[in-house]
Amino acid sequence: MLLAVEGLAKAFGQTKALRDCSFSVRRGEVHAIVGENGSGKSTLVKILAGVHRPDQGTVRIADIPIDHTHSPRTMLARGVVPVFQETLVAPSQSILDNIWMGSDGLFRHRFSKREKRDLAQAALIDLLGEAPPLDVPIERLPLSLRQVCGIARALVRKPRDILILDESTSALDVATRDRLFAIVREQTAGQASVIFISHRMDEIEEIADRATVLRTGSSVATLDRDEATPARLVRLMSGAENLTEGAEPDRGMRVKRAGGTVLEGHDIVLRPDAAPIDFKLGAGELVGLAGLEGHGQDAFLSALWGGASSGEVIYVKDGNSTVVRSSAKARDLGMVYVARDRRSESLFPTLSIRDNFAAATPAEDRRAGILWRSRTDRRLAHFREQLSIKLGSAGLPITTLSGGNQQKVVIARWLAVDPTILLLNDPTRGIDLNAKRDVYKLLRTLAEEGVAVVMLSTELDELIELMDRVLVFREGTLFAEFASTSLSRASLVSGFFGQEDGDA
Amino acid sequence: MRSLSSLRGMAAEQRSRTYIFTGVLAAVLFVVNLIKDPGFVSGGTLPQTLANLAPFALVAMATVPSVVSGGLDFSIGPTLSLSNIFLVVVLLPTGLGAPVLAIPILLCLGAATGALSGMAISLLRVPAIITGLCALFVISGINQQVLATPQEAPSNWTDHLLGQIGPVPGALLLIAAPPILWLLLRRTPLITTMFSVGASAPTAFASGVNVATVRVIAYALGGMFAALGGIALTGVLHSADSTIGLRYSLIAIAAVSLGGTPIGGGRGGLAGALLGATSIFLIQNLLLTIDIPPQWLDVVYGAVLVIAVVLSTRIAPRGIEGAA
Repeated sequence: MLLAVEGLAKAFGQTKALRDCSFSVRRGEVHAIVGENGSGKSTLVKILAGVHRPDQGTVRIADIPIDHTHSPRTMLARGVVPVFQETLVAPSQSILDNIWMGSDGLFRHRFSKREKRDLAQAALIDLLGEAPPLDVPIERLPLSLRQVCGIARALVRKPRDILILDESTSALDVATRDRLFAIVREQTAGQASVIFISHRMDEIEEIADRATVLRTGSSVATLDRDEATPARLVRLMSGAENLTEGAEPDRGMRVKRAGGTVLEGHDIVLRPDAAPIDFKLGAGELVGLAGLEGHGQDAFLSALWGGASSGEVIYVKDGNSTVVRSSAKARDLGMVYVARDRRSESLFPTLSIRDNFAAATPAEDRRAGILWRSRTDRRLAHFREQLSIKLGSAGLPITTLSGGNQQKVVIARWLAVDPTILLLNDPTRGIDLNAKRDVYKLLRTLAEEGVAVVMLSTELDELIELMDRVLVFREGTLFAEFASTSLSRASLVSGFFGQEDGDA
Repeated sequence: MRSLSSLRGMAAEQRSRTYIFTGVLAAVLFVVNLIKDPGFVSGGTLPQTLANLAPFALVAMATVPSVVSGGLDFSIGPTLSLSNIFLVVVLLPTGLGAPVLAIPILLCLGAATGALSGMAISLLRVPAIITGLCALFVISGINQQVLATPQEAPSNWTDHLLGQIGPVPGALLLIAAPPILWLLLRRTPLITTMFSVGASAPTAFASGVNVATVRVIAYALGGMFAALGGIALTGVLHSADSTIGLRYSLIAIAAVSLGGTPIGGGRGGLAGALLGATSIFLIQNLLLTIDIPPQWLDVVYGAVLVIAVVLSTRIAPRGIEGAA
């Protein structure tokens, strides 16, 4: 056994992140760790990476236990190279410096500058097919490319024993992901092992040799490749049967439901050389935005949210039209936006769950000039039920919740505004299956109540099963539009890659 | 990927804009100074002017290592003062005053002072701002303990800093020392690692950087530069004074901000701080040559500084978090 983990436990204050985790990794295998958010996967990764020290249990690498000197530095020296779920970068530093961060000593370079450039370039080309300029500050890159740089940081270290990929594929487009998988296969062929964590069942099916299932901090089972069917994994993880339970598509109904126009876009140009886009959104419609990363779907969503640099976005209500020119205006008109990067754009990490929830509706609970917590809690309780938010006390910091529950609180914050149009940017990114299902259910309910929903998603399945129609973006413009009846994985993917034949 | 090509050329453009602003500001101020007082950089007065600039330049550069590594050393001014007092009150009278002895001793003293602050942050996990303020008080207190009233210095080698040493103005040797050391260290991974720690300490830690050591080294480096400032100040004042530390700390922080090294870490550098300090020195010089009532001097000085810092951040915006 290359890695043997025995009875690992770790608590943060009151929260037991990991209770009893045991599994082992063979040399040369891809070992998936699956579990819902809050099941302890990330804590496990951080212990293996040396960021956290376990309260109990042992970790042995090639039969040598880790000891009190355990730190990221010592674990890297032992051949354990992690890619963390949070894309950790030093924003103002160049891509090159980010990729090589921590690889050198303090006074001595491990490689010459030339070698560093070449190796970094090679790693990025392996992942992207082409390398971005290495001297650009990494903060200029979109999230997906930052994640790629995080992976490149691990790859240039030439993981000798164990490469850990924690949700590393969540922001990648399909092509980059496929290239990453090719690299993973190379690693395992070279006798290194890969610990692979993902919320995407298709990825686990594709790449994992074995899978260990975590549930509420304990390892419940390790399955071989042929036993690890998605259905079985999901059952082990949560007891639920399949991805879309409780959210069965009923497409005929949904198409008819689209009501009067609530939002119109005219001549929206996302890139100087791209064709202008016209768009209409009806009340009660669920519209998906999709495409390969960085092909304009993001920009389109921000254009709807008052950020159109050319063309017009017009909000229609009771026959009156208003041009939306800023996000403040959009907000006043009853549009809300759930941002993509939860950590930097949505959460106030030091504030309580209650305050995070009430952030968009600060005056709501004021009576006689005084804010009443009890009123906030009553409002929160309503959404807690509607979205099945799992939380203990509303006074605890938001960071005590799992990612999925954090996202639900953020969504609740915006629903509290009582919007007529809901814009979401990949809201289910990195959240667990049950939480996703709750979000889907909620979106359906909202649509039935007449709320128009526009949602950017990177998950094919949710686009196919949830949406009334999906707009596929390519090269900065609208490439194809699919009604729910013509939606399939094949049609979407061919649209992503610019194949007309998918446009049925 | 199409979006990648649009990124080319961004790095250099962004980095140079800050320096261009501060450089232009310094150049304009220089010309205005020259018009008001044509003699201030003629052959005879240049060494003296540079000597007056030196303490400003050195405290500004001394503040850079702590700031880029994510901290803020408020105690740079008192450390400069400590070096000044130690030289005049301890080293010169006891026969340790020769430059070959005094300079290494003072550099070690400065480095040790800085390292202590760095250790408080790294090992005791005291927030950097609190550590900086405490160090400011403690070092100022020690300075006053050692020297209650200003004391005249005997004639000594620092007097040469006001004139030429060989072909170069003496003060220039002191001003040039930190940039030379910085450039040498740039050839090692240390400086880049300091920026990485300042830009994101959790990322640096998780990537295997020894964050604690880097912080201690950054503060020690700053303390060393401040000690050089103390030597420069001794040359200018011909005396030791324990009351000036705070003022120099504040000037240093203003100079660093003006020079494109924002508090928060991960950005900036020595060159900007040097330009920032030069601008501040020139502003002060200008205000002294035009007839502003002395009691209004600090008010005008402060107001001009604010305007300059605001302009520098507007014209050369810092990197935008999350820009896509």
